Parts: sequence; C-alpha cells; structure tokens
Amino acid sequence: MLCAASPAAGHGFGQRFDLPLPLPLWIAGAGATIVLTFAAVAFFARSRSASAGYPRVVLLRRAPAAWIAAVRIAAVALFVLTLCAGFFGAQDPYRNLAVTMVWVIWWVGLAFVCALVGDLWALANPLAALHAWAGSPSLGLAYPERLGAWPAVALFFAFAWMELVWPANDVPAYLACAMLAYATLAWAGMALYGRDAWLKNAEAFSLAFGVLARLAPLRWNGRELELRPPGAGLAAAEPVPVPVLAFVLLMLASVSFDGFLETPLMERVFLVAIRLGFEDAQLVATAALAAFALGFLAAFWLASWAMVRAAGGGPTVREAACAFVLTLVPIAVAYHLAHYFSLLLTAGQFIIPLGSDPFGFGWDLFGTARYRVDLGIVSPYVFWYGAVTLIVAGHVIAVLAAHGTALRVFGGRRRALASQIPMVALMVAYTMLSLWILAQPIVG
Amino acid sequence: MAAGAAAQAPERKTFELSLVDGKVAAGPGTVRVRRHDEVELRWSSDRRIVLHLHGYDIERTVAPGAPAAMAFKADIAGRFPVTEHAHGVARHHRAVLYLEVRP
Repeated sequence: MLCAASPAAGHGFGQRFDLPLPLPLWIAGAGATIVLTFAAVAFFARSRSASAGYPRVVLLRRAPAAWIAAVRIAAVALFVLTLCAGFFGAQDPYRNLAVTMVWVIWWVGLAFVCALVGDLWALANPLAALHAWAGSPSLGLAYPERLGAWPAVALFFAFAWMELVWPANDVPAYLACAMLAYATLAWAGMALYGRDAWLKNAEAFSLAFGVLARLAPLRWNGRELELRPPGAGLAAAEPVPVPVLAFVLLMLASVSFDGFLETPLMERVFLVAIRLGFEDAQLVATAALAAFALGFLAAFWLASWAMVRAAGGGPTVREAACAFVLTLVPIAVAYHLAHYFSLLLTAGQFIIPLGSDPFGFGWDLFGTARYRVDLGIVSPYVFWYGAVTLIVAGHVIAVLAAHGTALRVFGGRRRALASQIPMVALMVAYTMLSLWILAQPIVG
Repeated sequence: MAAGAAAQAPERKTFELSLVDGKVAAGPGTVRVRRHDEVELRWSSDRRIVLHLHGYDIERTVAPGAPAAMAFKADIAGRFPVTEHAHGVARHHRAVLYLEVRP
C-alpha cells in the first residue's frame, strides 16, 4: 500500500510530495505580481467609470427541483456512508473511505468546486437536507442577534485545529465521532432557532464555502442562475458584519498556516519552543495557529486604518475593514488551489479503490479495489508553473476587486486611488507570503 | 522541458548513510538526484530501526552489523521523506532524510 506510514504534520490527511518552487520561478512570480499591480493601478488612474454591477448572463430562470433533490439525496447518502465507514470499517486510514472522503474529497475537493464553479455546499448540505426531510422541526426561538456569526468563528477555529493540529484526525472512528457531534449540534441549533438562522450564523461550512463561492462564476441569486466573470461578485459585495470579517480572516490565516506548518521556519519554532520548555508540539501548533489568525487580523486592521487615512477620511476604520475584507479572498483561494491541486490529483486517487471497498473489508464492488495510486500524474513543471500562474492571477483579481470596492466606499477616483496604496501593499505582502511558502522545502 | 530532461543521461547514484540514534550522522539531511537516475541508499545504524521511504514505498530494517540498501530507479519526481516506521496507528515522526528527485 502506498505511503502506509505516518502522514506528515499539516493538512488532515494525504501527503504532499511537491518539490519547492525553484528560485528563478519564485522571483519571476514575485516580479510579475509587482509589475501587474502597477499596471492595474495605472489602468485605474486613467479609467473613469465606476460601475456597481457586473456583466452577467442568466442561465436558468427557475430552480431545477428534480436535479436539486437528486444532488441532496446523493449528498445524504455519501454522508451516511462516510459515517458508517468511520464507525464500522477497518481503522487503517488508507483502507477506510472516511478519511479520504472528509479531508481530500470534501474539504479540498468541494472547496475547489465552490471557488471555481459555484456554491455546491449550499445546495447539497446533507445536514440541512436531513433537517428539511424530518419536517423542519423548529421551536422558532429568536436567534440572539448580538451573537452574530461568532458561533461559526468558534466552530471554524475548532475545525481548523482538527485539520491542522489534532493528531487523531486520520483515525476513521474519531473522525466519524467528530462528524456526528457536529451534525448533532447543527440539528439542535436548527431545531432551536430555525434552519436559516443556524446556517447563516453558526454552520461554519456554509459560511466557509459561501466565502469561497463569492469568487465563483455561477451564482443563484434567489430567482435565477447567473454566470459572471470570476471575482466580479467581490467588488459588488455589501460590507460584511464584524464577526464575518473575523471568520474570513481566520479562514485565510488557516489556509496559509497549513502551508507554513510544513516549512523549515516552523520546524525551528518547534525547536525553540522545546528549548524554552514547551515540549508539547500540539500546544505550540495551537498557539501558532491562534497567533497567525491574530496576526492576520492586526495586519488587516492596520491596512484598513492606513487606507482611511490615505483617503482623507470618509468611512470609519471598522466600516472600511468590513467593506474590503472579501477582496483578499482571491489571494487565499489561489494559494489554496496551488497548495492542493497536486494533492487532490494524487491522494484523491484513493477514492478509486475505496469506492469499491469503502469499509476496508476486502470487497471489490466495481472492480477497482486493486487500483494503485499514480504519484507521477502531476509533473513538477505543471505544479510549479500552475502554482505561480494561479497565485499571480489571484493577486490580480484581488487588486481589481479592491479597486472596485474603493470606488464605491470612498467615492471619487482620486480618493479611491489614494486609499489603495496601503491595501495593495498588504495584498503584495500576502501574495509574497504565499510564494515564499511554496518555495520552502516541505518538512515535518 | 522534455528536451532538458533528456539532455542529461540517467546516472547511477549511491549514498552511504550512517545513522546514530536514528539521525544521519554526517552529511546533508536532503539527497538530490535527477529523475530516472538509478539510486541506491545504503543504510547502517547503531540501533535496530525500520525505515520507510514514502512515495516509492520501500521499507527496510537496519540493525547494527546488518546494513541494508534501498535500490530503485527514481522515476517519480518530488520530495520524499524517509521516516522511522512505528507500529499501530502511525504518528508524526521527524524525517530521517529527504530524497529530492528533480525533473
């Protein structure tokens, strides 16, 4: 069995064997980032129009009910199958469907679908579907509005910890326990406050996949399915509430931290911590994750403050921060895609044998149980050039979205342009962090 | 890119790696080869240790007085750790060595 020993620290499951970006390519990526940023700013300095909307094509005028029902049935079936595999299947992570299903297909794969196609989780969410099929039981209590989306922030932190720090995240039965506990909490919440209130404020994955889907070309706007340019939805977005801002920054931090965990620098942090008497690697990693999230928050708040100063007033720092936070999402998505596309294509192949033998009982339902994973499927050149292209493209989309937002928030071309100096500086720094992580050899 | 890879004929590369308490005693922590090279990692150790080369999925038991070799054609590019194999639910171990196979 391929790589049957301990998966490295970092992402929940599945090992990345990617070579670090070669230095010339890293420099080329950084150079392209800066040149394209200046080009975009120069372009804005000349352009006059500030349109609030974006070009769109309506694809469907009503929801295809039969298709939606089919997607939900499939999602619920997969959810139940994954739970059963986790509880009753063989406990070897490579022979049990649960681990590959949760960490590779669902968390990485569905994130790709949501960012590149549209919000499939909103459509398929098996927790919501099961609640609806049970007759939508609800006590109809008023959701405490003061709480906002803070429950989702707390739950996402717990999830990020499970993904990145929890040592038992590849033990099928533990994973199934965590899934069931989360589902029970969600059903209890929906039963208390109603499904919509819970999905909007506390269902961490509805928020997470929803944030990624802001970038996507397909969107259901309540009445029709529309096709739009990627990233167009970001500049047109309404300002988010403060807890959603915290959620987005936590999500961005956890994505970067995932890569950072495997760098030699983090290894040095662990060694220094041991020298200082902190032997517990989990504790150190947890503290580092929290520090990363707070660092992102501090950097973003500082940039928002500088932005308001540069524009010479207008909105408060908090209003500016809430209006701009989504414009950082393309940089995180690009990093996430670059970091994971080779993992998805290699570790994702485990689903082929596991589909025939989901419990590890030695079945061969579809005749694919003996399939062996081909690690050579992604050439290093494809990985290197693909990763740099994605990161530079994500950066450009972010700069464009931020400018569109600036025109709306600050009004007036001159003030919008001035306000963008600190925000673009932050974006360049963030993109450089992504490139730097990809240029580090994976250790751990 | 295919031309660049073809320009360099595959070589035979041998590395002598001696472990002291599960760590490579001397030399770099990473060995680099080119894709399609014939690679041989020759291990010796001052204690009994089970080593696993990830990706190529080769496992060898090395013991004092009983060296062992991992010989293979490096056909998959990437960066592959060699870790000490533990039984039961395997947990995080620091890699003993990294093998980088460059295209």
